[in-house]
Amino acid sequence: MNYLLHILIMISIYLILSLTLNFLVGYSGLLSLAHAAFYGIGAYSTTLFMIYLRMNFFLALLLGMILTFSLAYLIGKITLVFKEDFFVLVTLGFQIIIFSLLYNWIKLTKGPYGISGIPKPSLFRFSFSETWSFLCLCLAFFSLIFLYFKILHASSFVLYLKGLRDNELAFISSGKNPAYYKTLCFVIAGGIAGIAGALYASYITYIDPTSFTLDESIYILSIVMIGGTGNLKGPIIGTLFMVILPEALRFVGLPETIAPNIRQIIYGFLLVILMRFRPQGLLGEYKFE
Amino acid sequence: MNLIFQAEPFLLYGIIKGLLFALLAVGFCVVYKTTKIFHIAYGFIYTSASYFCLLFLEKLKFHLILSILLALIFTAILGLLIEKGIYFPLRIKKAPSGIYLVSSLGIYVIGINLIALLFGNETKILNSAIEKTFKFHNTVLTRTQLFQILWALCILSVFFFFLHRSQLGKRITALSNNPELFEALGWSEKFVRCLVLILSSLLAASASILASFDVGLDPNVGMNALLVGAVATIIGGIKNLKGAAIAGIGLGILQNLVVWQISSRWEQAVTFSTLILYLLLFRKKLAGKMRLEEE
Repeated sequence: MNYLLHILIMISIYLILSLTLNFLVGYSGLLSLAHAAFYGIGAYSTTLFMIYLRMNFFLALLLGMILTFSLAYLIGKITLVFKEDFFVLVTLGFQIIIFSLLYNWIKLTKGPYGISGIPKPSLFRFSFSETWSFLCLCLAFFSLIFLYFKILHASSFVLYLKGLRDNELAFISSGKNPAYYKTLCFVIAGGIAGIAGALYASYITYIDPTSFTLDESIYILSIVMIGGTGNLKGPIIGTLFMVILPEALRFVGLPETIAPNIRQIIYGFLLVILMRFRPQGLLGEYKFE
Repeated sequence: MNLIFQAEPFLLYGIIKGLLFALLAVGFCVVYKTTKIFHIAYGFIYTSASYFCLLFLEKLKFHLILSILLALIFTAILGLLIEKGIYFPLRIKKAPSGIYLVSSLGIYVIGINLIALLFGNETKILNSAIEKTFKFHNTVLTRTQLFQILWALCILSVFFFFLHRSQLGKRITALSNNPELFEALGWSEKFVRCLVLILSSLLAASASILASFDVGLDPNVGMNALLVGAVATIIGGIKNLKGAAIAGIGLGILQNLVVWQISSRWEQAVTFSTLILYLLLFRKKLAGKMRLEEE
């Protein structure tokens, strides 16, 4: 039973990540490879507030989010100067810089040793230490975020973003400022990804920088590209598929030593095949450009 | 004076590392320049070259020179297969750059994991013998390092000679400068693209094999190679092969100075900070270049 709950928790964490990255990739056409960095910033900032300042999870999360949003704003300001391949490369650069900081700033983050003993969240003397209660917390966060994106999906803001994505020149000629819309989109995506990080840290109770590597960014991007972008169905199906796939492989009886490689080979194949025959992903709307 | 004395080995090692980076940068740049593909699978090609060499040398016990030659040939075939099987069909569909990038990422993921499955994740060593060393002023160089300098210089010279002096080399430049005119003249784009991918793979393979004899190999070495290639290409001026080579050497020296003054752990962060700083400082110049490309 606990195993099932664990998978559901991981699904809800990755749902938050894929929904946020989808917002960036699918609605504004920006292919970011720095998503795991924001995931990591969220995880580390919340953890550090909880451990060093002995804060409650929710207060630490709030402060952590402020920090993640601010950093997303700063990084967005720099990366959004660039377009297409250059944007991808610069986000990749930030991913590596932030990973290096988490890994090498040992005084603050304990570097490769990681931080253990991260407390579980508690609210009004109720501790979310049981797996089922933590799942409820994750689902609550996911529902709120899903609702937020659902409202955004129907808003004029998203319409503007799609307009900007499809024809920047026409967008500029309508008197709108593309930098403002892109930055806001980047900040929303990066900032909310931080929540997933905070939940992950508190659930596993241990974090180290290897959970927030470039590979993780590629993994989240694969979820979004396989499921499809530009709507809310795509990332959800992508997440379900990608998180359940390794568990399914385990049931097939693949040895533990080769399972991670086989899993990655499968999603590599899917990426190549989908890009060739169905660039919008399984259920997506937007054909990536 | 004392500082120069201390810096000399780091500078020299930096130049050696930079020469390998120059090979990588030219290999990445030639693909980006002619096909506009952000060739992420380049990282996989780089890794596979060393593993081919390991396969022939250690597992099949072939002679050293034969192993290296076979590794170069197989890596070139791999590059050709990627062009034929993945990139060219996308070119026919007139796919946008993002599609190429994600497909290339897919190939990288497949390739690296196949290597890890077949050879394991641990670091392997190609050359376990104690090496003969040479003292050069204040610096001790191993035989492999001397070989690295000579081979890298030799390959770079041959490549640039081929590019500027031969008919085929000039066609590569022609395709990157004006694809429409290239087609109008009735030349085969397909053939030149294959040639570019083969050349790029050979350059990556040379760098990879040279590096792996010195520091060993593991399945993840390719990512760093790809990043260095991409960063040097941009700093070198995007479409400028010589610029990319010089930027590669510069990056090698910079990384070694970081190792000397700070710590090896910050190598990559410094590489990317340099890139971002460079892009921010020269973005107007770059934007002009990109606009020209679009026109």
